[in-house]
Amino acid sequence: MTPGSPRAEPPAAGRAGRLALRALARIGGGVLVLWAVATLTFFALRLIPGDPAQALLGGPGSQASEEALAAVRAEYGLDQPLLAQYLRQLGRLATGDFGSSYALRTEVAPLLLSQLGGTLLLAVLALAAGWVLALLLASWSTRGGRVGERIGSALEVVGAGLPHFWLATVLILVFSVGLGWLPPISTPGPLGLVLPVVTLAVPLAGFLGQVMRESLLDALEAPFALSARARGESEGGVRRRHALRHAALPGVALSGWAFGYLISGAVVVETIFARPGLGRTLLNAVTERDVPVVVGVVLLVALAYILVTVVTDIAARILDPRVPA
Amino acid sequence: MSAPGDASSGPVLRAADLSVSFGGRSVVRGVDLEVRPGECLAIVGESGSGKSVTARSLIGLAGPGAAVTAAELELAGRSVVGSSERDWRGARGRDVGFIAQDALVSLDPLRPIGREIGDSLRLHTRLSPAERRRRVLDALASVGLPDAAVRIGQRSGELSGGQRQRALIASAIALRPPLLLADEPTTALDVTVQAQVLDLLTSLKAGGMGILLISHDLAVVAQLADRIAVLEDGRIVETGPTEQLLAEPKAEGTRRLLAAVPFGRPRGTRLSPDGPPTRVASAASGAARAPTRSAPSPVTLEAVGLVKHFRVAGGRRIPAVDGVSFTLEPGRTLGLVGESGSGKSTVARLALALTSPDAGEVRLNGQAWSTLSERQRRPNRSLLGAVYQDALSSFDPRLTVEGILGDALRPREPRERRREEAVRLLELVELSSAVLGTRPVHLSGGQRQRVAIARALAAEPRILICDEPVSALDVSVQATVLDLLDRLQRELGLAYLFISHDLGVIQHVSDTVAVLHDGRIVETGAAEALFRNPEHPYTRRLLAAAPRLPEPAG
Repeated sequence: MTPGSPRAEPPAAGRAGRLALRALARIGGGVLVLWAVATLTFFALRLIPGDPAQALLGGPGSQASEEALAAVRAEYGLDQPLLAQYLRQLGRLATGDFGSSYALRTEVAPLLLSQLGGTLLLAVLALAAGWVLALLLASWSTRGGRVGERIGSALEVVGAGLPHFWLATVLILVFSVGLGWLPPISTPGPLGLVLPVVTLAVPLAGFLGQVMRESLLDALEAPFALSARARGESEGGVRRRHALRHAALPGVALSGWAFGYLISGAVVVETIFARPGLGRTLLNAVTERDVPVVVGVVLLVALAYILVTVVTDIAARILDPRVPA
Repeated sequence: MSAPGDASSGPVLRAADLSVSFGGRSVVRGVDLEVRPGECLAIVGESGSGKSVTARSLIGLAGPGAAVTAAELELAGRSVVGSSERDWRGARGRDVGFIAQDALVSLDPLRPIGREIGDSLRLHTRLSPAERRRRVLDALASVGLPDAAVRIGQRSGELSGGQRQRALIASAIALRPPLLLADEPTTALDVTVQAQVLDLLTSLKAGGMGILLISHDLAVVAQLADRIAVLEDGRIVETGPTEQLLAEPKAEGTRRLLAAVPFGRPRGTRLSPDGPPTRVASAASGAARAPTRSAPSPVTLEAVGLVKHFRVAGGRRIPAVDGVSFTLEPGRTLGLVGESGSGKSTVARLALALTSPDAGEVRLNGQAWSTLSERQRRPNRSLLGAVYQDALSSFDPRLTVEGILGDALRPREPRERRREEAVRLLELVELSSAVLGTRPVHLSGGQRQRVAIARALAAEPRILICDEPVSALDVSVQATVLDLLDRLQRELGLAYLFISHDLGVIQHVSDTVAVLHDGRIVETGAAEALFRNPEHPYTRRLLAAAPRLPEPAG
């Protein structure tokens, strides 16, 4: 029930305040999620058969002596009860101490931080490129009548369905091996980024394009678009000033999901293009059973994911005043 | 900018032999129109008569695939026949303002209304942003929207229905165009707001603006129009000065539209012409069987001191329903009238026990109802049926009419009997069995509401809760549905809780009326007495605002 006229003036400051509160609440919830992720990974890794001390000393094949194993257990606290180990790990994680890598014998935190930049750059560029591609595709296909729509929709479905490893291989074959325009592996510098970014952006653009085209079409048909045309607005003006913003809304809402999608895609893409980053670090750590690094990457990705969803949640509410703060 | 004002002597709109077709299908056929400055011409017709298409073709926005031809088409003294898209854009907003149907969604919900209104100025003038802002404030003041300086920063979602309509009108008249096209400008608005909007349009007319008003409701039109043109199937079947046309309607279509207006028509009088005799006969035979099946016993529903609170933004609790009591008796109609936000629909949900009251109780046949658990209520659920305003969204879009009715019949009838029963229900609501295989999207508004009523009757209820059942319908379709409900009540002895914002409808259907205002019943009584002698100031205000036809002059 909404009482007729009195609801007219919600003070803008009140809405901003509520948005800030909401962001805080979401971040609070995010901390809980991080705790849950840390707990789950801790116990999940203990459930894997095999002795962590054994892994530390070179894996199951190693001929480590009992004394050496005991020494390692004492050093890493593995001889203590599980609950004590869990609490100790939580305490360490809370202070940003991720322990040290079994395989590389270095601190995990600085290792991850050094890899984070490359992956973030890749993800952000791919997200931006995906957005631009999706908007272009949506705008173009809604201009071309029914045929345009069919083509646009087909391109989106195919794009969304392309697996990263296949797309990356094809791109390398065409643009590196065939045409020789771009390096086949990710060399430092902007040229080396092109193929990895395109590999991640194309399937994403397929997903985003589908929802954007739908809402773009809805907005172009909406009564407010008719009002705008009746004021003398041109077709381009209706798109720029009205429809595109409506089309962007579901895209913004999906960007939180898209970020997670890109990070998981980065595992494949960084490996194929031999590009340093979190994804490749994670893959190596998993194959080498490097538990602290795996835990570190999982937590870092979870943290990034939480931050991005909070940001997109708030952004969607700023863009669309109809959504309650 | 050329001054459009110097056309003050000539007509601001002249159309001769205007026709519109979509892919060979003629929608508007040879319409002639003329509007002079300071004059209002109303085009009245049922839905599908082509009135909206006519209005939109006058600004070159009849839609993709529309073929528009006209011997003459002049806006503000300039011919626009064969205009380029660019010329059309120049004329829209400057020579002619347009208020689209669906006032509530005709402003972009993502943009502040100041921008929306300022767009006309930005597109047609070279004013600086500061000057535009000043003109926008002027426009908002001229449509009577207070606190204009605050309003221009707000979006349409932050405004009430009446405020939105004012803002929309402001955006259409920001440049003071000599002609205003208003397509159903008061549909979906509360009666008091509707009266205010009509007053606003009247004052614009007095200021010299020519208005072309589109409506299905002759009672609304009678307030504003100097001349009326009745459109039927794309043709003007009658045109003339308002008083004359209302007093001595010549065309059959005009008479039908006049008869459909419920206000001032006593309960039980037909609003629509009689249906074909065969259909009525078969419906009557179907109905005659119904009572033998259900062995009706009198069922009453009683509400005592209902209270329901809702939480609003900021955690405050406001009462939506505050101490409402009433009794529904067999074969009688309680009309519940109130404006949007008065708590009408919450009362309906409370009566159906779809939501539980914070205080008070609903009793069915003297037994507990709202206090029971849903499991305990279920055996008696079939005693209550519900019909809503938006029939279409109350159907599963994948189901055909047969599926919808079959679903409702499932608790009562074995599978092999359902089709036969569905046909009988359709006869009861005067629909042919040919619609069985149709999906509701392909039915007309009136047919959909009939299917919704048939579904409500499937469980053989004794009480129908009708929440704005005719508010989404044209007056003429509304008339047929009201006649149907009246017949069903007499034949089946149903009790109705009839909820509406429309006083005319309430007066026509009710035995007893309760006026709901801010969650409280401010006045209740026998329909006739209450409308003849309203006591509460709010009831008086509602009555004064309700559009009605002028008393027939002899």
